[in-house]
Amino acid sequence: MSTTATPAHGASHVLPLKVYIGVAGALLVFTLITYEVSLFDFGSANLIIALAVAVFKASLVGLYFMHLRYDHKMYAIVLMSSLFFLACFIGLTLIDTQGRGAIDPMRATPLRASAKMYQSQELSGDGALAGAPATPKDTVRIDSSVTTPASSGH
Amino acid sequence: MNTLPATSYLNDPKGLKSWLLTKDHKRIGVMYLIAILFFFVLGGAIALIMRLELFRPGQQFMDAKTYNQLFTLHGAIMVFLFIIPSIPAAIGNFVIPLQIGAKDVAFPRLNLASWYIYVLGALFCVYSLISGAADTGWTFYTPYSVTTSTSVISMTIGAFILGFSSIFTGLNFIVTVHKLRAPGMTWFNMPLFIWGMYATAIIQVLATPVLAITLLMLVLERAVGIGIFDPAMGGDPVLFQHFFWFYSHPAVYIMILPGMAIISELIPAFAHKRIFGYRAIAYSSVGLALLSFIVWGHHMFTSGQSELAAVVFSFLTFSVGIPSAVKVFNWMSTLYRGSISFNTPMLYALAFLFLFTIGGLTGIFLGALSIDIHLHDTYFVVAHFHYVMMGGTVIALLGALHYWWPKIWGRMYNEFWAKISFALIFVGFNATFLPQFVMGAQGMPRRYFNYLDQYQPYHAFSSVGALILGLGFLIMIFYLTHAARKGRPAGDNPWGALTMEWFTTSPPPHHNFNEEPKVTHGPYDYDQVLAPITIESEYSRVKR
Amino acid sequence: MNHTTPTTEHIHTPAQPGFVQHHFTDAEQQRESSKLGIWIFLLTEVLFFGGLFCAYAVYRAWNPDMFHNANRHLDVALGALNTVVLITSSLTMALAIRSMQLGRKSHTLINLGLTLALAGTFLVVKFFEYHHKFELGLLPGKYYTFQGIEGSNPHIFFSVYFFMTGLHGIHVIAGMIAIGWMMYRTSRNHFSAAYYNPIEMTGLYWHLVDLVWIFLFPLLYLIG
Repeated sequence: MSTTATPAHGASHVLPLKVYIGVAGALLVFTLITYEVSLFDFGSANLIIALAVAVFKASLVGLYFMHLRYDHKMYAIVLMSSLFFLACFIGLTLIDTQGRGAIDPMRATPLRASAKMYQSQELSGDGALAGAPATPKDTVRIDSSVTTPASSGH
Repeated sequence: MNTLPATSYLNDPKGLKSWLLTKDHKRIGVMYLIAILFFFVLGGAIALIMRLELFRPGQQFMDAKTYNQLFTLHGAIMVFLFIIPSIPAAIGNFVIPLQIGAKDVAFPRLNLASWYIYVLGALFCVYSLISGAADTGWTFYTPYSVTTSTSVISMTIGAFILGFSSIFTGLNFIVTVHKLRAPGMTWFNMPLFIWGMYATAIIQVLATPVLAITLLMLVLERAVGIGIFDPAMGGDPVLFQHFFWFYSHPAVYIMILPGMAIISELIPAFAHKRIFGYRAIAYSSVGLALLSFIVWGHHMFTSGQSELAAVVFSFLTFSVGIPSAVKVFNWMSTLYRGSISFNTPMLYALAFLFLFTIGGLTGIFLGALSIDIHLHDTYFVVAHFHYVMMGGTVIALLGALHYWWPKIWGRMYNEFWAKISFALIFVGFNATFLPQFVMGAQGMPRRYFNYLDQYQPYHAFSSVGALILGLGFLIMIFYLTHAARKGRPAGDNPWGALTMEWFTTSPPPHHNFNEEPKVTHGPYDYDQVLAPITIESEYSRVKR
Repeated sequence: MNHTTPTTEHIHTPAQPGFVQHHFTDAEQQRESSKLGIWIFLLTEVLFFGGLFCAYAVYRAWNPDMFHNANRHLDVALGALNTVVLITSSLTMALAIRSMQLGRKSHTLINLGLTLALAGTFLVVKFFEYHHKFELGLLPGKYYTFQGIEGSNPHIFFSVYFFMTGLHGIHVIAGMIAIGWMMYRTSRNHFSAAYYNPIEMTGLYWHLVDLVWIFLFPLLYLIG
């Protein structure tokens, strides 16, 4: 059956071709923009700008390609709620990972050579794994005084 | 005298192939029911063996590693193969379309796929059981789960697959409730069982995918060494816990919400009274589902997470007790001035109120950060979760089984043996787990194969309780299977209840209703409608 | 959302041949159910990928400089090319649905075919990217051997990179299978202007695959 059936109420109306082409064009333009912007350094705003453009592009895809603008609100609620709960997950996890040692500073100690999990691997003199960094600068935020194993282990 | 209908979903269509390829939600529900009960018995048998080993300190008949494997299996089987699918897939599948006046769920083929995915996941888990079962605890914490030589990968793949079964069931239920309600059944005219299952389904679809990615990460960590949880490679083992509990805390609400949904049916039906606070119970179901997502860190108070995170999670955890309390008060208010029949389903509902209150309150104790520091990883926690999961969900499931058994098979169970079994289960359960609160508060750690002599009286008492509990279940197996095959035909409505499943035959026909279902009254209109009870029993004459 | 008066007779009218399954009252209920169903599935995919975005957030916050240095070894031009490819494939997918809304079978097949071809292009580009990294030793976790990146544990970036893009690639492959199946069913006249649910559902899935990449691209390729 290839006749054009009368759309029942609720069936999406057919969007004009130029809406689709226009949205695709905007998406390509903003891809170019996000690339150009990445060549400059705005410091900590880099991430925010990149994400803002991504969110805008995603909104275009959602509203037009996925018809959220013309459909029942329910589908938009479904999508928004998934993003909301994802944000809760990331947010609360970051409260942990970014806040470690804030109140009770942690001290890093050299790895314990006798620990079972490292049995098969070689450890160098200061207890560091071969190939692993000698001082874990960029990892867990630690107190700058690295004490010997005998004291506060963690 | 009732007779069974000549044809019903049980014998129409006939043949093994018609069952294996069925799209009938009732048949799929029955297949799930048999499977989850099988795994409950398996998980329970493992528990009994553990409790026998723990009767006295020191080794009795197994070594420590075997003990570790047993408690891991007990947990994994009970959580993933029994309790998470239990009420949704077995009871929900059967009852939901009937209660909303639909012919089936929204996606019957997806429903069948859910079933086969469950079977596949179960096979992986059983395989891991016999090929060097994991000894990590059902929580699979890193780093041990990455380094242990036991078969963690097959168990995690099994759980990964089972997760999809859960997701598809949840997806199916959400769409079913939104789209397939009979004309006249508005959102606030539906049974509260539907509200509870709907809230459960929301959790299933939001939380389970995170479990899936967590297990995938664990498998890759073990197999390929990506280093995401390994401190030597800059990874963080506590991150695994965040990922794991983001699913597993909402998962415990996947376990309890269906139980609460059942209680919301049993109490009005057997108090022959309108439920008190319909909207409060409906909203608190959804509220509980949503709040459950922001409290997971209370499982991690001693893990090394930041102090701020611990305080935030402890604070948020107190909020999650509120919806549960709302429900308990509403159920109790429903009982007040009701005309109560003490049939077995009602006994289970009353037991639920008592046991869930204990379990829920002790959960609040554990939610307090300062107290949890001392109680974490002790038997206090073990007792808490058994009170909510077993004293809550399993008791509700047993109530549901007895309530809907006549609808599923068309035949009534023996009330005398049911009460004997109930008494043994209630006494046995409390004897098993009440001492565990005490010894946990006195410092007995969980997952310990050996223990100090001072705890031995509690362990012994608990083990005897477990035997009584097991006896109660054994009796139940006998009289329920007898009832399914040879019980007295129950008729359409042995309880005089008012939800729609009681207005079709027992068992229902293949297409659920012989006439188009019409919503002529609300699900709890006991003050307006008198539904005839179709079976003679000591409770048939209801005093009003 | 409740529905209109149900019909009791089996749906088999000339305008709506038997594509309405028996438990639905009419085509509209079936269509709305399918759409709600696929949107909920997309919700689960957001949470599934979301776990990896969380891991990314945690490790980038802990190792900002290392992420910056490691990122320089990703080929931004290829990443941008893949972004353009996927956006175009979303366009052709949307046009495929539009074609079937207008009952144009051959246009639908062309648009679906273009989508499939673009998806394949994406995978080919990815293959070259991965191959280049394997050659240099920029591998995940314990297989990492490249020596030129400053900062501790540079393999973390590549673990995250390969995991996220790999999982995304698997979803592209799954999408290609679904699109291929839609092409088959279209060619067999299973669809019409009155019934094209499966294509619509495939389209929504495909747009999600595009959406995930829209976020992966800046987060992995454009770090400062």
